[in-house]
Amino acid sequence: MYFLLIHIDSSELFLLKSKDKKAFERLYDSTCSMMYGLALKISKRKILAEDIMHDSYVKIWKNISNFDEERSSLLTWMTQIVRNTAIDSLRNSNNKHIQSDDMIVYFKDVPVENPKIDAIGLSELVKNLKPEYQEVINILYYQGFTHQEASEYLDIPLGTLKTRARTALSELKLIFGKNEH
Amino acid sequence: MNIKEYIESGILEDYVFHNVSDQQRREVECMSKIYPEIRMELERMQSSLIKFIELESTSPSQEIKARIFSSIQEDDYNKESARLNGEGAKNVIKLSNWPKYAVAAGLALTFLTAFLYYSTVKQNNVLENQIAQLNSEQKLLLDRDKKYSHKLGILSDPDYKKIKLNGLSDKDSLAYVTLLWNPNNKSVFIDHTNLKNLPNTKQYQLWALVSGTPYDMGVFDPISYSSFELIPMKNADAADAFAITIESRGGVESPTLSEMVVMGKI
Repeated sequence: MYFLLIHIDSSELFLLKSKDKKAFERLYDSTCSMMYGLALKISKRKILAEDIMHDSYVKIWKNISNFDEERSSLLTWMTQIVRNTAIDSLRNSNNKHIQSDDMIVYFKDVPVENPKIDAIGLSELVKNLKPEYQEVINILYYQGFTHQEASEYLDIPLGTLKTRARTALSELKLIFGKNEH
Repeated sequence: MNIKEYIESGILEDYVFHNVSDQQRREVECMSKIYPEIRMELERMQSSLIKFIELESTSPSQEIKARIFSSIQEDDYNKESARLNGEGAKNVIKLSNWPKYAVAAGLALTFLTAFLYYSTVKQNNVLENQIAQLNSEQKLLLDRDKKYSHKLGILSDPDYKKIKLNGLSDKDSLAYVTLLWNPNNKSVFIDHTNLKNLPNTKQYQLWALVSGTPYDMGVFDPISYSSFELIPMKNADAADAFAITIESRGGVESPTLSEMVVMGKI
């Protein structure tokens, strides 16, 4: 099941915060594909993505006891860690400034090794998302650009960029909202 | 606070894309806690993004998992080691300091005990010596008192005749001896105060003269008697005079007249 792990069982969370390795292994097994896909999406390189995965899950393990479920869901918190680790890793590799050509083929460049069957239908829906929205999500979320940087990079006014970003998320909400189980 | 306006301001999208300042981030988190509508909207956005991300899910190799869990195990091991080392260090500190304190305390206690013992022993010795001395002095005084009392008793006893034996030679002209004789009980005592000590080979010998015949009254050594005691001599039934001669140790049967020191008539 690809459905997101927004609300985790409190007893499971307790085990995780207690640094229970079995619980952490269950967490890893249920989230590794998503996180690896995210790492791969940002880094675009398998070796780098594997390092990001390693560093991210070690960070998650070390900081799990500090996780505040009042602030966000566990999965949101984990994706933030993976995303930030990946972006830092990219910046360290001086890969921050990607070429516009790369952006156009961005999705195509990253091979989806083992897409989940349930996700295929949604994936098709997302493909219907206007390229400009996909682009803004890629730049803002996957590449970690600030709005200002993205505005300059895409050569569009800041206000336009912000509107696109909000619309992109609204579109996503519409897509996934309709398909929520 | 218009919640709808806040949601529509775009701040939540900025938050989801991590494009907010720290202050804005805290504001959004605070608002989402206060207003359930904001929280729900935020969760919807986050979940949409997560679902979007999830579409790209790709299974990682088993090696990554092995590597991650190996690092976690190592981290745990290091933490445990650090904890144990910390405890060890604490123990080392405890072990390294404890004996120092113990030795210091022990030494201090030993010195104190030794000092106290030494002081006590020293004081005890002093006190014991003082007591022994006092006992000795007391004994001496008691003995002296007894002798004085005896001497005084005899001197003050009216039954005793006090006879002064005067020196005979020029050399002994200053010498004199007081003799005390009680004719009733026949006892005789000599106050030897003015008699000089004799060589070890010599002794004084007292004679009682009765009708010109000397009778031996015994020999004595003044050195053996203190000044506050009287020297007891043999009893004398009768006497006209008493005389003392210097004789060989042990005495003689007949007095050596040339060695007569003092004599006194009754």
